Amino acid sequence: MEGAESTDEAIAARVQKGDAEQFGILMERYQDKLMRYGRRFLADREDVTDIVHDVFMQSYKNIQSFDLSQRFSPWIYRIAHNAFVNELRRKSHRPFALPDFDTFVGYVPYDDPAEGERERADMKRVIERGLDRLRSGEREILVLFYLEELSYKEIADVLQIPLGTVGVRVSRAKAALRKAYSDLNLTYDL
Amino acid sequence: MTSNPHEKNPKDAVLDQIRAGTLTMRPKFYFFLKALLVALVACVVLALSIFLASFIVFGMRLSGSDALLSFGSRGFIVFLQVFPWLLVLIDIGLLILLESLLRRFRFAYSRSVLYMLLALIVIVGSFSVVIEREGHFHEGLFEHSRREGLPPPFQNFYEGAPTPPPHDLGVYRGIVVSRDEDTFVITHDDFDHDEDDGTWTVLIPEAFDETSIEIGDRFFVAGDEEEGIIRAYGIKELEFKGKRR
Repeated sequence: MEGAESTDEAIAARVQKGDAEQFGILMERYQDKLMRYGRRFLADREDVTDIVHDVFMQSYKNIQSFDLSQRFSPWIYRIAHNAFVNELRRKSHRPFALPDFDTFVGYVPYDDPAEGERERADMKRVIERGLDRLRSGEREILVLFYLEELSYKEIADVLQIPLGTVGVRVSRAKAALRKAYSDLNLTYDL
Repeated sequence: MTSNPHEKNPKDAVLDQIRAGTLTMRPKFYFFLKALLVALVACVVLALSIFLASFIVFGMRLSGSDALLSFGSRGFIVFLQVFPWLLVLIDIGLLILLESLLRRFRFAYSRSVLYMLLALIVIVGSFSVVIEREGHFHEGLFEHSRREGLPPPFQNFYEGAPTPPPHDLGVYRGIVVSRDEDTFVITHDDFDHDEDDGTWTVLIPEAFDETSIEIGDRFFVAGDEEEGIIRAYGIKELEFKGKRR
C-alpha cells in the first residue's frame, strides 16, 4: 500500500486531503498497540476490540482536527485513553471522576530519564509482572512510558496534564510497583 | 459502545464503513467553529467575571464599606461581616468554569490548575480595578438604573449596591447637617422609612482632622451608638467620582 514507509503525520495529511484508504495504514500501525493499551484497563477482550473499533471511528471522523505540526501518536492515544477511561468508569458505576489533585500544583518538569535499552527492557518485564497490583492511574502512566514508549511530553498531551506532573506520577508509580513487589516478597531488581 | 456486527478486526470493519460511505470525516470548519464557540463562551464568562468583580468593588465604595479597612482591627472584623461573600463565591464559580473551558487548550492544561486560577484572578482583579477606578462604567449604569431603570437582573444589582451595612454592626451613613468642635450631626433619609433612616450625633475620633468636615458632606461612621450618640472609632467622607451624594 502506498505510504507504508511514510510517517504517521504524512499519512494523516493524505487522509485529511481525502485519501481515505490511507487511514487503513494508520489503523494497521496502531491496532495492536491500542489493543494492548486497552487490555491494561479492561479484562474482557471483546470489550477492548469494540472500543478500539470506536476509537478508529472517532479518529477518522475527527481527523481534520489533528494538527499536522504535532505527532500523531499522542493524538490517537488521547482518544483511546478517553474511551477506555469512560468504559472503565461506566463499568465501575462511577459517573464522575475525582479531580487529579497532583495537577493542582506546579512541579518542576522532569527530563525523560536517560535509561539504556537493557534497563528499559528490564523495567518492561518488571512492569508486565506487577501491573495488576497497581491502581489504574499508576498503571496507565507506566504503560504509556515503558510499554508504549511515549515521551513525557507526549504523555502530558495524552493525559492533558502538566509536564512536571508526568515525572511525579512516573516516580510514584515506580515506588508503588516497588512496594507491590516487596509485599509479595519478590525481588525488584532495578 | 458500538458492537462489531461483522466480527472482523476493528481495522477491516472501519475500512468497510469508510468505503460504504457510512463513516465520513467531519469538515475542518466544524472544528474551527467548535473552537471559536468555546473561545466565545470563555470570553463571555471572563467578561461576566470582570463585571461581577468590578461591581463588588463599586458596591463597597458606594455603600462606604471599603472605609472599614482603614478603621483598624475592629473595622476589619466588621468589614469581613459585611463583605459580599455570595457575589465573591459566584465569581469564583465563574473562574472555575473559565478554567475548565480553557483546559481544552494546550496552553492551559500544560500548566497547573492553581497557576491558571491565580493568573485568572490577577487578570480579572486588574481589569475590574481599572474599570471601576478609571472608567465610569458602573457609575453610568448606576445613574441609568435610577433614572430609567435597567433590565433584570441588573436593576436589582444596582438598586442594592448603595445599601449600607446594618446598624447592629455599628456602621452608619449620612449627610452632615451641623457641626461643632468635637461633634457633628448626620442624618440619613432615603424616603423608605426603614431602619437605616435616622439622625445621630457623632463624637469625632481624636486622630481625625475635624476641620475637614463641612455641612453637606456625606460621611461613613463606625462606632458604638447609645441614645442617638455615636462614639466613633472611624469616620470617612464618602465621595463618588468627585461628586458628593
